[in-house]
Amino acid sequence: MTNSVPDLRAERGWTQSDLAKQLRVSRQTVNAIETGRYDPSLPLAFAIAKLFRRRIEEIFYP
Amino acid sequence: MQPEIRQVLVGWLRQFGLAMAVYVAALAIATWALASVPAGPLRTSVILAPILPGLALIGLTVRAYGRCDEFIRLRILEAAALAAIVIAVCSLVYFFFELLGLPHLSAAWTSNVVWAVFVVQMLRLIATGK
Repeated sequence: MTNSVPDLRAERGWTQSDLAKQLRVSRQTVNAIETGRYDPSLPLAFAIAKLFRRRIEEIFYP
Repeated sequence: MQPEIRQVLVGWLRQFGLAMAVYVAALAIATWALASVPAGPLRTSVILAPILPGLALIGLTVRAYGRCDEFIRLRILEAAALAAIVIAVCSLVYFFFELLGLPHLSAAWTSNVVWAVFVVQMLRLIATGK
């Protein structure tokens, strides 16, 4: 699954650490999601969508 | 924010090393007691003492697991699963080697192999954690 998390994060000028802090996860987790090595759980995907004020399907797609 | 993987796992490794040192010391004393101390409550206690640091290893690992987020937990579960598969395969293979005449090994070796495989994977996780 691919995602637009890196683009959305860059638009806001956030580092991976900034995003990790807001999502209450480790920076490694953000890195793994951005590079497609890890598909987040549904609660984390919802948290990401809420933070970026987008719908999940606008951020994550097959 | 969740603690970084390196921070949690390096802390776990330190505690693991300390618990292992205590375990080895208790094991040495238990081995000595097995041969030298007359039967009685003291001998029994000393021989069973290595169980405590062994249980501490499990407790420390569960504690470290609880401090990690979902991605790191998945990596730890994968490491545990691989360790279980390795020991299952090794036990099965060695069972047949024993039938062919290789010496019988103590079941305690399964614990050593499981922890060795698990620790190697944790070290790999620390080394590759970006």
